[in-house]
Amino acid sequence: MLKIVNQIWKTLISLKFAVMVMVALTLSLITATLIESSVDTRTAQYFVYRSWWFFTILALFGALILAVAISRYPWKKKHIPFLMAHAGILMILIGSWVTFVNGIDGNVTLAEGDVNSAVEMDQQVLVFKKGDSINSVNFPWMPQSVADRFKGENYSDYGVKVDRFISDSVPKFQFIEAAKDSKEKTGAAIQIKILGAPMGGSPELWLWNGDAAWSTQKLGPARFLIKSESAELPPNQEGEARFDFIALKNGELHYEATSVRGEKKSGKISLASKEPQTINPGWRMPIQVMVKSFIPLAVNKTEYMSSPERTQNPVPAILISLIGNASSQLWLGLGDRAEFTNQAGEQISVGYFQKRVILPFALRLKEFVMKNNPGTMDPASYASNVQVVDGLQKSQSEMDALEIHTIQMNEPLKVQHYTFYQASYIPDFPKITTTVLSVNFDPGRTLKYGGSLLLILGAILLYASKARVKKKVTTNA
Amino acid sequence: MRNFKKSVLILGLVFCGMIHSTANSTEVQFPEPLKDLQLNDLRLIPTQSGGRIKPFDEFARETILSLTGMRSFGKMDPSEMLISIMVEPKLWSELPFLRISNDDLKKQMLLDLSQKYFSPEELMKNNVFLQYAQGISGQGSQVTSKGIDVTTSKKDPRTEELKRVVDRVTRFQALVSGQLWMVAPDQNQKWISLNESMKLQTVPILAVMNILKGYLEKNSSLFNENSFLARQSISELVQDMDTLKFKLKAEVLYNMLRPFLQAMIFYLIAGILWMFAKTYSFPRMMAKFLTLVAMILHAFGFALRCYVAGRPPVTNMYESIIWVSFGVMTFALLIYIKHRQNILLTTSCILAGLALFAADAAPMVMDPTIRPLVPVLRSNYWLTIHVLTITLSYAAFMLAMGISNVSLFQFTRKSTETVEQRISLLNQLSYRALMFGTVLLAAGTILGGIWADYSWGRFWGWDPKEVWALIALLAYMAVLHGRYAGWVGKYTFPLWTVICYSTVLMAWYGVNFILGVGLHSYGFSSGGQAVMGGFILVQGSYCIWVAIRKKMTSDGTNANA
Repeated sequence: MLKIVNQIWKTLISLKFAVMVMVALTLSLITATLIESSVDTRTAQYFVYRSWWFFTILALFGALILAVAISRYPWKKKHIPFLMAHAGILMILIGSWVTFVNGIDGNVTLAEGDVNSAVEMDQQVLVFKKGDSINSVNFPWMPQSVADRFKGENYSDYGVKVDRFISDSVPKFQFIEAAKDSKEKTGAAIQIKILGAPMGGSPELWLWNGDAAWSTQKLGPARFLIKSESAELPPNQEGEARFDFIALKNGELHYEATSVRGEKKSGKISLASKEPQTINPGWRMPIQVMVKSFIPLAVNKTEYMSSPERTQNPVPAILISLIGNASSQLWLGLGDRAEFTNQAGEQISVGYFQKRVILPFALRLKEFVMKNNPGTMDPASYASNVQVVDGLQKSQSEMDALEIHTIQMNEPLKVQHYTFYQASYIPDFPKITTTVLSVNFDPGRTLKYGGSLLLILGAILLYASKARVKKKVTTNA
Repeated sequence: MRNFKKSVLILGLVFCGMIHSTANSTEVQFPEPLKDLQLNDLRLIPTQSGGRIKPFDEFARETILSLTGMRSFGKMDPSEMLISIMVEPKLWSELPFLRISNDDLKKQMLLDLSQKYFSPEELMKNNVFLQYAQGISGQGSQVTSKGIDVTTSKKDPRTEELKRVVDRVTRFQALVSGQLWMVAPDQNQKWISLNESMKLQTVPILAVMNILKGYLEKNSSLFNENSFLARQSISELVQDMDTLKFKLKAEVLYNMLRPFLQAMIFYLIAGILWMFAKTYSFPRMMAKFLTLVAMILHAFGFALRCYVAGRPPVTNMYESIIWVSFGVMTFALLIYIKHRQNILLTTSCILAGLALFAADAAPMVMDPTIRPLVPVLRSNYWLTIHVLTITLSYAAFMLAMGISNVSLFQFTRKSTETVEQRISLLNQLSYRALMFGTVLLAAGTILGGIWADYSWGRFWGWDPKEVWALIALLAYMAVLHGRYAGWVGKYTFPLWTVICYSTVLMAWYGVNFILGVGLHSYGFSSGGQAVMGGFILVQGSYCIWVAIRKKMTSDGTNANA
C-alpha cells in the first residue's frame, strides 16, 4: 500500500508528469477553440470546458503543483521564488474553483421604468408547480449530437416526462380550432402582422388567450394583448403603447389601441371579409396592424423543429408528455410554460426557463443614454441611469426620489457584494430603451488576484536568480 | 555563416523586387499630375469622416484606399487625385482603378482574371454586380414572430468581396456627386457635405468651388490661392481648432513622412550590415548609425500616431505590428547590453524590417487608418497596459524565434568546437528572450483578466483570445520545464522554440483572422491567410531541411571517425 502511495507521489512530483499535464492541457484547449470556431461556444463548453475530464486535468495540474512545492520541504531561502510562482498558480486555480461553485455571473434586462431583481443565469431549468409548491430542477443544455441519443427523463413526482431535446430549434407556430369537448387548454387565438415597424421587417406574431405566457407580447415600446370579454385589463405601464384585442363571447373581435400619451382608439374588427383587415392604431410611429387570422376557440399546437441553418439566437426546446399518456406530447421552447392535469388528477404546471437568481434588492432603469461618434451611427458610449430599490419603497413618487447611479463601460455599480456592468442593449428605433447589465458576484477574486501577483513576482525572481547562478558558474569556470 | 549571409541577401533582393513590382501600374493612360500645384493647404483643410475630424489629406488617402486598395494610387498625390476625380467624373469612370481582389468573384462577374483594377463604368454595367447591388438594399434581417433572427452568420469570401466592390462603386458615386466630402460645419458643429452646401454663397464654399474650378481649368494659381482661403475659412468654423490645428499638421506630416516605411528600409539594410560588423569597422559604424536612425524614425512615427489618435495604439493588427517590431528591437538591445552579440541585432533588425514590411504591404488586410475606438476599448488604463504587455511578449517570442532559427542553421554545418560554442551561445540568447516573453505573457494574460474583471465582471471566461494566450504560455512553459529536466537539448530547444512560435501567431493573428469567434470581436478581420500560411510553410520546410542536413553532416562525421 505504502509502495503505491510512494509511486503516485513520485509520479506527481516528476517533471515528466508536469510536462505531460501541460501538453494535455494545451491540446484540450486547442481542441476547444477549434470546436468553438467551427460549431459554437456552448458546444465547446459542453465537450471541453465543463466536461469532467477537463476538470480532472485541471485538478491533476493543481495536485502536481502542490506536490512539487511540498516535495522541496524543508524549504530554504533559495526556494522562495519557486514557491511563490507555484503557490500563485495554485491560488489562481483554487480561486477559479471558488468562483465557479459560489459565484454569480448573469444578466439583468431592464426596460426604462422597469423594476427588476431577477438575474438570468446561463443555465436552463424546469420549473414544476404543484399546488403551492414550486420546484426548479436543472436541465442542462446539450449539443444535438448528444440530444439525439437522449433517452428521456422522468419526473415521477409530477407525473411528467421529457421525451426529446432540440438544441437549436425554430418554432412552428400552430393554432387550430379546438374540438368542443377538448380537455386541452383553449382560448381565442389571433395572428397579426405589424407593418411599418421602425426596426424594419414586418414581424408576425400570435396571441393566444389560453395561457398567460401567450396572451401578451411586447414589441419595442408597444404591447400587444388578447383577452376575453370578462377578464380585466392589466394596468397601463408608463411609456408603453398598448394594442388590446378583446374576444367577445358571441365570437366578435374588438380592439382598443392606447398611445404612449394615453389617447385611445377602439372599434370592431370585421371578420366577414376574406381580405385581412388592417388597423391604424393612430400612434406617433407609423404602424399598421394587420389581422391575418382569428380563431375564437383554439388549441396551441406549436412545434419546435431543428433549425435547418445556424441561427443567431437559437432556442433550445423540449418535448414533454405525461407519464403513461403518449398522446399528451407537447413542445416547450425556452421561456414557455404548460399546464397539465396528470394521471393522478393533480393540476401541474411545467415551465422551461433560463435559471434565475433573485437579488435581495431590485434595480430600476431610469434612462438609457447613448452617444454616437460624430457624423456616424456608431456608438461612442452608452450608459444606464439606474436606481436601487430595496423592497420597502413602492410608490412611484418614492421611487422617483431615489438616488440615480450611472453604469457605463468601465464604470460598474457595486451594490452590497454584487457588481453591475454595462454589457449590452437591445437595439431599437428611434430610441433604445432596454439595457442589458451583467451582474457579478465573485467570492474567488481575492485568491485569484493574490495568486496572480505571487506568480508574476515569483517568475521574475526565479529568472533573476537563475541569471545570477549562471553568472556565478561562468565566473567560477 | 557565409551561406546564411548569402541567403539573407537573396531574401532581401526578393523583397526589393516585390516593392518594385507593386509600384508598377497598368498601361492605361491616367491623367498626369498638374504642374505648379501647392498641395499643402489643400491637405490641411479640416474635414469630417469616419467619426472624427481629420485633414483632407487623410480623408483622401482613406477614400483612395477603399477605392483602390492602396493608400495612394499611381503618380498622383492622393489629395490631387480626389480633386481630379471630383472635377472629371466622366474621365475617371472609364479608368480602371477600382480593385477586385477575389478571383472567384472575377470569374463569376465574367471579368478578365489578369486584371487587378476595373473601371466604375465597367462594373456598373456588369449583370452580377447590378443584381447584387439591387438585392443588397432590399435585404433586411428576417424576424420571426418571437423576435428570433434567422439570418445566417456564415461568411463567403466571394460575397464579402462583392459587398466591398458595391461599396467601392457607391463611394465613387458619392464622391463624384459631392456627398462624400464634408466641407464645413454649421453653427451646431454638424458637418455639411459639398453636395448640400453647393448653392451657399459663403466664403468657404466659394473657395472650395474655386479649387475645383482652378483644377478643371488647369489654373494653378486659382487653385493655390483658394486652397489657402478654404483652409483658413473652414478652420475658423471648426470648434477647438487651436488644439486640432497641430493634430492636423501632425497627421499630414505622418502621412507624408511615412516613418515606418523608412524605418523598415533602414532596418533591413542595418540588419545585413550587422552581419559584417564583427570583421569590418565601416559596416559596424554604418549599422550602428542606421539602426539608430531607424529606431528614432520608428519611435517618432509611433509618437506622432499616438498624438493624432489621442490614445496609445492598441486596437488593431497594424498598430500591434508596429509596437511589436519596436519591442523586438528593444529586447535585442537589452540582451545586447549584457551579451554583446551582433547576431542579436542582425536578427532583430531583419525581423523588425520584415514585420514593418508586412504591415505596410497589405493595407486592405491590416487597415492603417486611425479610427475612433469602440466603446469597450475607450479610456481604459488596464486595457492599455494589458495589450501593450501582451504584445510586448509577442515581440520577445519573435526575437527568440529569430535567434533559434539562426541556431538551427548551425546544425547544418560540420560540428566543430566553435560551432558547438556558437550553438550554446545562441540558445542562451533565445532563452533570455523567452524569459522576457514568458513573464510578460503571463503578466499580460493576467492583466487581461483584471481588465475583463474590471470592465465586465469576469476574470476568466474561456474566450478564444484568452485561451490562446494561455496555450502559448503553457507551450513555452512545457519547453522550459523540459529544458530544465534535460529532455529538451541543444538541438530540440531551438526547434521547439520555433514550433511554439506558431501558438503566438495563433494568439496574435489566428484568433482574429482565422477563428473569428469570441469577445475580442472588435479586432476581427480577414485576409492575410496566404501570407501566414506561406510563413508557416517556409518555417516548416526550413526545419525539415535543417533536420536532413543535420543527419547528413552527423553521418559524415561518424563515417570520418
